[in-house]
Amino acid sequence: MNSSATTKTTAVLVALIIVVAVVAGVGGYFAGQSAGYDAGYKAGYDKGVMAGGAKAYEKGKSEGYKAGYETGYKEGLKAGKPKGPTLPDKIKIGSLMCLSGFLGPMGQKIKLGVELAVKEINRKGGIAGRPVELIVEDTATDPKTALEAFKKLVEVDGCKVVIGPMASPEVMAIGKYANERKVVVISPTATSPKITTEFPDDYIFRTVGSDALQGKALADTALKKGFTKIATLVLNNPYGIGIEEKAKEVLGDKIVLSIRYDPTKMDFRTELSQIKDAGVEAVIYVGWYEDGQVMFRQALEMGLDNIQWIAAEGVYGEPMFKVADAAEFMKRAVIGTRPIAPTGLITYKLFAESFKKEYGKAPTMYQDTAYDATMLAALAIAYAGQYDGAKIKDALQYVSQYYIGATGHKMFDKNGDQLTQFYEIWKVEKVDGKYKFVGIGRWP
Amino acid sequence: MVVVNWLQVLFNSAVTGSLYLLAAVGLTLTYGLTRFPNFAHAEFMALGAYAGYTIAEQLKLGFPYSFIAAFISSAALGAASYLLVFRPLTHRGATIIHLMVASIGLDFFVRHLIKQVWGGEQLSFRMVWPYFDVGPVRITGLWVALILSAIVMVGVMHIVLTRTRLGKAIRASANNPDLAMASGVDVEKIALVVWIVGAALAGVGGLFRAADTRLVPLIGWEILLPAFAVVILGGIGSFYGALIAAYVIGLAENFGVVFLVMFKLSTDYKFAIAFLILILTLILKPSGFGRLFGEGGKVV
Amino acid sequence: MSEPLIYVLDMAVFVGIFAILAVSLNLEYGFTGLANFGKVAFFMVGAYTSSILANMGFPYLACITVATFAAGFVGFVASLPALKLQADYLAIVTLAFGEILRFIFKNEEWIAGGVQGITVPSAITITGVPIQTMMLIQLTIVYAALAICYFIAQRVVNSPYGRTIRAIREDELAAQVLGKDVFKYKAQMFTLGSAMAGVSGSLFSQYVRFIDPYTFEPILTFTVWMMVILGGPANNLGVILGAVFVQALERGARIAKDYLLLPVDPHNLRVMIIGILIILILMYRPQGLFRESKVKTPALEVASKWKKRS
Repeated sequence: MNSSATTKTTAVLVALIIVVAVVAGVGGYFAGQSAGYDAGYKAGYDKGVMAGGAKAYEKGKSEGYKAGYETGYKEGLKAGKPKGPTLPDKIKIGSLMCLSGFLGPMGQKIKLGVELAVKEINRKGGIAGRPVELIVEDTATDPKTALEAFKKLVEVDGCKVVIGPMASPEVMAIGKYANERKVVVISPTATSPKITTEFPDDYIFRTVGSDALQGKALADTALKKGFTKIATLVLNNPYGIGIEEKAKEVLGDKIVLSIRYDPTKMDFRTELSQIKDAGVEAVIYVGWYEDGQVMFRQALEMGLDNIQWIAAEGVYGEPMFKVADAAEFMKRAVIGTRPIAPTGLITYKLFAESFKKEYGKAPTMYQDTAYDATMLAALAIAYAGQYDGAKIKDALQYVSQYYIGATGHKMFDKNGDQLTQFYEIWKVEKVDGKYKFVGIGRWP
Repeated sequence: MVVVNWLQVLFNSAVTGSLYLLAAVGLTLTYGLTRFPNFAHAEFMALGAYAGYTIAEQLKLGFPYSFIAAFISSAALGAASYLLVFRPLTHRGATIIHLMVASIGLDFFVRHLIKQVWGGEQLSFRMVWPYFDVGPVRITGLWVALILSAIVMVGVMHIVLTRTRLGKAIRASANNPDLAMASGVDVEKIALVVWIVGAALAGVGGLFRAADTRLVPLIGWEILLPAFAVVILGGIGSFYGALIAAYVIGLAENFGVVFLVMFKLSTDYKFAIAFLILILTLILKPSGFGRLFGEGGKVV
Repeated sequence: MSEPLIYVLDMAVFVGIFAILAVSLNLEYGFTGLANFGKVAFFMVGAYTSSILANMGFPYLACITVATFAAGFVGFVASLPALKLQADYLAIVTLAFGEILRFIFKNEEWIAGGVQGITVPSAITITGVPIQTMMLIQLTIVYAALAICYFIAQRVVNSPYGRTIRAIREDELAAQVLGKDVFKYKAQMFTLGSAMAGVSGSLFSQYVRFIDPYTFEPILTFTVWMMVILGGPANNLGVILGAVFVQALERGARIAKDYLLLPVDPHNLRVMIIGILIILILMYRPQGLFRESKVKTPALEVASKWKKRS
């Protein structure tokens, strides 16, 4: 391990300790109060670092983190005292998810991440002793419906914080209304770079990195492998095009063929023939599970498994293995990138354990960012001490500095985007007759 | 310089064309006989695909049985649609626009019923098909099965239409219902048979599309407009016209991709090609290829 | 604070926007008998024209005016070849036309952002005004537009002109024999209907302030058809009530699911109900819930007065 990596690891550890302490302090909020922040947070912080955090730092082992977490949490509980009913008796958190429509299958899964967070918060006594009520609305993967559902959440239910919506166009559609009505929106999945430019410095946050980063990650991966003739094959939607444009910017005329496809049509044979005939060395691919399953199967059938495919995170996940041919193709030809937390993060382990206990299966893509988005929302409400959009927005900026969640340090920049985002480079292996994803590198 | 494996593109066109043919045959026959475009035809495809999925994947009975299930379930839906919705409407003097709108209402109903029963989540067949190279062309078992099914269907339909009393009655009813009735043909009974057969074939088409891609409630609706393009280009009610048109549109879409890539246009436009053919046909030559096979363009 | 009032106002705005579409379709289908299955295309032209102009900094009045003319013009051009066709062909052609147009907006990024969509700057900016007031202003604009469209539609159909187009609907050949230039009348109605759809599209983009190609799928056309069929073709007030009904059902289902425990997904149930209702209405009451409005002309009023006196 070189020295910069060591520094990085140390930095992560230090950050972790801070977070453990904050989580501990926040335990105080959840248990009792909001205005008791000074007492609860500081006590939790100090005690946490002293008792658990310091030990963790020395040993660098998970027991240490756990000890810090537990101690801090208990101290926080003790220190926090309720002070005045400034929060409503029941705290509503809204959520907009694509439960039907094109992203429906994915939305059904991501919803579990939000629900898990709410369950955990309520088990710990809610926010300042007040239970959290989650209201989920379906956006049908349609911006117009998303706006209508958002208005329902805001005006009928009175939500001040909304987790979602998932698709970038949906965020674009509700952004202005959210700003006008001062409602905090935290999207766990919308990755379009356009959200940053359209809505800087306002009520729109996201717990996932912008595609501008991932496009660069994919392009760099291709460069590193020394490919000089590359094709892009992307979904004809903001997700695909956002990455395609960034990749083109980096790779320039190394890209000899660009194909955009409609995810609902599914007859990709001739597109794939074109790629095969062009004699490229690599394909940069952006798709979702739904079309990725079909694309990979047809790619295997067309014999494109002797070209290196470099895929974005849309096809990272167990559902891809439901189609045997797609799984086999991924094993033979596909590597890819996906946003991840720094490796070996204890907070991710805790999240994964909790998830497994609740649903009996391991978490997949974006369930962790959805969990973090919900946790951040709860923390911000607790810290603000008032159910007020503007206050929660400021609190969110603040608490994000200290929150390390399932996907790592979730600090927002002033645009509400992730300050840092790491990507893992993965491939697929077959072990004992079962396919699985394996990390083979990191970016940057 | 774009290199193109033209033989492969030709074969791909045959696959696309066969699918469109199965999807469009029922549509053109019912259109010709009951004189309105049935938008609920999309759900005949969808139901067949879902029924086949239940048999093949949930009951694990294998693909041949799912074939039968698709055939029967879609046939039943076709019969029910005609007997419960479209025939009563015709008896009540519904206009062609009323029938079209009713078919959209029926489409909505059936699609959401399917969604309620099977859920909106994407499903896929687990079957793995063998693939092999014939010269420069890549072929899979499924594509061969699809093309063979289309050929067998064409053969059987051809024999039925030309050699049997039923076939003659169908052609007579489509050409001139009044004359057919006068000469003792029960036109409504014939129409029912055509609805059943047409829906059943659509079900098989839907099953193939599902096996080739995946299952979602919108599976039929996604290729309804291309199917309409086939119907129009082939000449409404013309079986042989549809046969040619299906492959013409298959060729146009697949070769379209090659040219779109050459001219650096978005390949997403390939589906606009079918729509463009549709519009141009109706404006320039509304009878399509129908007249090639007899007067009036209504020869089935 | 939650403001259920805003949700109600929001629904009212959408009812207004869709009511304009329903009135425009009613002119084409209800009165003239034209099966336009591509209504969404002209709505889309209005929305995009208006949005592009608004982004260039034109005042809203200019945006909506140009959007109206643009949609009307596209409607006119499209009608020239399309209207020579019989009813079912026209339906399929307009449906495909809408899809092709959507493909162009989707794939040509330079027009209006392609799949990324385009945001629309607000037409009216008054700072320091509560949102309810802003909503009321929006509402006023939309309903003023609806009132104008309704007034124009009523004037058109209750004139000798209106009698002619109804005659064309009932029997095209007879109208032709009477020396009416059937094609000209149809083209005029199609252009007028398209222009109204453009008004509606402009209002929509201005209100929602973000549009992308996914907003303009064929389902939108069919929603408007549902409104017209449910409300009663050839009855302008009826189709507006149809718009109210369809919107209320949509939003009602969303709220009802929070209070009712149904074995069926309320969204599926809602669409299934609409599907069945359409079939039942066409079967048992094809004239719609409201019958065709009688022609109201000054001559008729005089005549009915005469009738009463005697």
